[in-house]
Amino acid sequence: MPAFLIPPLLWAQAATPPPPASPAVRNALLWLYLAGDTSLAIPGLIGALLTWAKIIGLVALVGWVGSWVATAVKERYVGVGRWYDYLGLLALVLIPLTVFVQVMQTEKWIRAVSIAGTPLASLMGYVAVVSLAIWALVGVWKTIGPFGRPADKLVLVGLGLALALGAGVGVAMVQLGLFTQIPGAPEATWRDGVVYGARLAVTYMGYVVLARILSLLVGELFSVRARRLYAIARVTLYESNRKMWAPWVVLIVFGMVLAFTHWFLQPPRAAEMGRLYVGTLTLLCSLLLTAMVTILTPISLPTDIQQQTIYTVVTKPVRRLEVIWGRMLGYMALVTVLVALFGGISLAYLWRTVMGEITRIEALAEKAKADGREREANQYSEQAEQLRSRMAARVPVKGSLSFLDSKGDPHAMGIDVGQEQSMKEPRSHIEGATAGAAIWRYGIVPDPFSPPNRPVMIDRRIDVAQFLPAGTVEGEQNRMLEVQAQIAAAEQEKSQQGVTPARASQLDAAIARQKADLDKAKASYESLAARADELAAAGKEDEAAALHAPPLKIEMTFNIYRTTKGEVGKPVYADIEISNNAVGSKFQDVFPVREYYTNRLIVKPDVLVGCLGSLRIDVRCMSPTQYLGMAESDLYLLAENGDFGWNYMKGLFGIWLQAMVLTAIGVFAGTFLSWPVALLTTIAFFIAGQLAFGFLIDFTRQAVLGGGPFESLIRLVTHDNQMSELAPTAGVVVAKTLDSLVMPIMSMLVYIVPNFQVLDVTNTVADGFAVDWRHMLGNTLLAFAYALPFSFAGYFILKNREVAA
Amino acid sequence: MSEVVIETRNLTKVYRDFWGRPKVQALKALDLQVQRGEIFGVLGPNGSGKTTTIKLLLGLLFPTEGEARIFNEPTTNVSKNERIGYLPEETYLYKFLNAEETLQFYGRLFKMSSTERNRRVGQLIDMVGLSAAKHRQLREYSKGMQRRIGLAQALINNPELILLDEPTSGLDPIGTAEIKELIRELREQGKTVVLSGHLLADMQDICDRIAILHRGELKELGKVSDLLTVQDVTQIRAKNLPPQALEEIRAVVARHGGEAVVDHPTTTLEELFLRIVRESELHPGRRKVAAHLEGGAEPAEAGSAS
Repeated sequence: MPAFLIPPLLWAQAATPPPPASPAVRNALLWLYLAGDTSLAIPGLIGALLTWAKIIGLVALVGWVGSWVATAVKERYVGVGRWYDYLGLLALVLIPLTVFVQVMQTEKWIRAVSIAGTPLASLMGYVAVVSLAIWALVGVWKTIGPFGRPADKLVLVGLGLALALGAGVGVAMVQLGLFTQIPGAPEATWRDGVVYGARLAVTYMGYVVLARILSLLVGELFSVRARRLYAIARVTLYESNRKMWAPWVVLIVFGMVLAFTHWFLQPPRAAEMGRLYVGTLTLLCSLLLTAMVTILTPISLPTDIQQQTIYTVVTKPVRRLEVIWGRMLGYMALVTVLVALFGGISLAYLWRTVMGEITRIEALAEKAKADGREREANQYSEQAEQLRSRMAARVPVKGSLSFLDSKGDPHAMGIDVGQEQSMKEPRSHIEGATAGAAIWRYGIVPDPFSPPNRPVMIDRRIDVAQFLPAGTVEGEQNRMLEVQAQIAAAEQEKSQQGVTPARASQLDAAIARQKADLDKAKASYESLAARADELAAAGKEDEAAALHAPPLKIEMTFNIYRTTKGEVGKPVYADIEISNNAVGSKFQDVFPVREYYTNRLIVKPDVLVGCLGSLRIDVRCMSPTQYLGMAESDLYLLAENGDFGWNYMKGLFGIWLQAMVLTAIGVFAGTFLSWPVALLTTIAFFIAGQLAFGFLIDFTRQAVLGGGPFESLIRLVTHDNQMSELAPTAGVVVAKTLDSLVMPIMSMLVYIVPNFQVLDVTNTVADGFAVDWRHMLGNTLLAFAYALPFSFAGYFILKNREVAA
Repeated sequence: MSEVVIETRNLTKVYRDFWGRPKVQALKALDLQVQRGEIFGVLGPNGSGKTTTIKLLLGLLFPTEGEARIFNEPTTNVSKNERIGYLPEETYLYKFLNAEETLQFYGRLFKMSSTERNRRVGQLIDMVGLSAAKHRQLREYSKGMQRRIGLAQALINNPELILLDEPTSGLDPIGTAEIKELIRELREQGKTVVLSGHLLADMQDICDRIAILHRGELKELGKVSDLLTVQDVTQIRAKNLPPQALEEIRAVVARHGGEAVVDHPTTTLEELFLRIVRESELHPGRRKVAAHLEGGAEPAEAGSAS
């Protein structure tokens, strides 16, 4: 079966019986369904790409229709008192009126009225939308004739077809019963199908306009030349350097802040020193670079247009896209140089301060040991080790965390003790001396947050070879057990009924090959084990240890919620049990939990032998009346310790990506706004994406307490808190109506405001964890997913504006 | 038949306000053709639509109606710019670059090898007389020097068509004369030059054909020589004629029913200025002012009758 005929994996599709339709029709419908409603895709690359294309398509659709309607208004094709203008006027009045009626019904000012089974507000809404659509369509139609190209007319036809397709898919989904496959969903009617189909149609229309835009971009992309990009980038660099003095200002501020930083940085605990210093330095780099880019980028192009310097540039064979990309390249070259300089200076500074402190403490530990002050020496050593653990790039292997409550029942989360939470990774607790446990599972495991009747499996397998390298006793033993498991699986498949002779023959060949491998692994293992035993017996412990895999390191950072003070000086104890269920081996230990420190457990590597990537780690709190708090990232197997300096530069790369997105926004804003407005726009984008992104997400989820801006204003004036129900006065109804009009528009901002927070990985670096390449690649793709559309939008604006007007 | 380089048909430009209401009609239905190899002047008072016409030809503005084509391509085609050079009304260049960097920047925008670009940059800097100042940033340049480097950037690609918007604006008479000489040289090289301006003497000196615009409308179009010839007047020039010869000429003209005006021709102020500068360069020091100028008496050098 061709790949495109394989039905996509949808949430709605998981663990549901197939609908009564031919497979081809069903698959085609599911693909169309997924393309129209990308939120149904399982998170991953395909889902992300589809969602990206959908959002870009919708923005393109709004831009395309908006630009034609704006032309129609300017050229007086609409807005001249014809019949269709009355429809536009009707829509303009009906839209707020519909919202007003809806709010009045909700506030019980008026009774809910239905006409022919349809609520009045819905009916008014439909009339408003249809009137507006007719008015816009007439505007586009009348303008596209004299001003449009044949391809624009083709787009208009495409939009009509997309509308028909959407409605068709919606109705077909109902007819084939695909909507009712979701357990618990109400029976869908054909009307639901049409309404849902209209939503799908809008997405399809977006794809049509997106296709048109891509067709326009292809020619432009092929015309872009490196020499012109280089020329414009070079001038941009000169401008930043000679006109704005930007790099010098930034470097001087960086140097001055750094000169006095250590006076003010006092870590709350000695072990926090590295984190505090790294966090402060990366924050300083981030602030300076983003501030520089925010100020530089939106000023350049408007100044060129205002001072008419652009006349001599665009009258040369320069593509408009080159004007934008050339500028972006120039700024990013400057940012790259500054990132490299900041990185070098910061690392030298950290080496001098934090590493100097570690060396000093280690010297103290040595001295205390030499003087026979064992307890003091241990304290110093531990302090130095804690500091070192942060000045590293640890590679954690994380499992999936789920909980057993105090009665032993499974849950996705533990007990909420009411502490302030980080929404990024909420921490929950287990009660001491009960059946409560936190369980980290490795392998192909169910996502604890997916519905139990439709579990979504996640891959948390351990790469065992990373811990048990080949050529070691445990590595060879593990290989032997893995081959045995493969042979058993092949034999089981062979013994099943219905295996074709060809397949049976393939399995036989595989088993024979695997048996040969098994013999080799067994011989190698036995030889290595015998050699290691011999060396150990001869007292050559170091040589014997070299033949074994290194011990398994497990690191844990838990917090303790104390309901009683407990005994002063006596720690809270935790019990840890590591189970390798594939071979039935176990490891158990009890350890005192140290808060705010990284608890380390060293385990013999044998526990991983033959686990086939699956492992289970149970943690219980042993102390009664105390609660142990943890999040998924709080326990991990430590795979390796990477180089801190390199990791620090990866952290700065995240800031570089932020600067790139901000550069794209600044240059984009400069294509159509004067420089002060462009500057404010860029700042607004940065604040919204860096500081208010979570708030925007809450907006889209309608999870903001206290209503929208107008309702909040009333609460401010009347001193009402966010939770109390406001009396349905006329003012409140009007405020809620205005909120209902404004909030959907504001919530859409989340789709165009870049999530700057997610690109910033400096916290990971400051915590001493390695930023892995996949994460960096994902962030890079995300940054380009934001930057490219902004640059293309800037290109279209610059191309269609009169630079000399 | 010579090749048409620029063609406009019903070219109209209306500037509008933010709401799309017409503000001013800058150009009204302009129809003209410019042939390859000619120097074409667009004349008119301030606000007559000269610069608007050039901006429309370059694609810096979009026509409200009609169309313009350059090398038979729409003006919005970027590829046409490979063959065009443009000097704007004011010298809009990057003031933080020096002359060499400026020309290198504009040169990189064209498809030419670095050897060719470097050669061309050096040649143009010499040509516009900025060799001594080539490492100074343009912000330190006088207006005349900026005009010169502006002209050099317009010629960096050795263009076939050169559009010069008021090329002599801001230049002293020597610079003006040099620019005019350069334009003539460009014509000799087979290039087409379109220039706009309102300095009539300059335009008269160098243009083959002119278009006169007023309030956005084309009022006159044709060869300079045809447009300036006064058909009902005959001019005879003679040198060192005695007074009785003048009387005889008057009598002959009167006999044929004509009217003779006899006086002495004057030179132009530009020619006088250039002559003084040339003399001053050859013989430095205070120049002896002619006695007839000091005393108001006029020496008899030549006579003319018209």
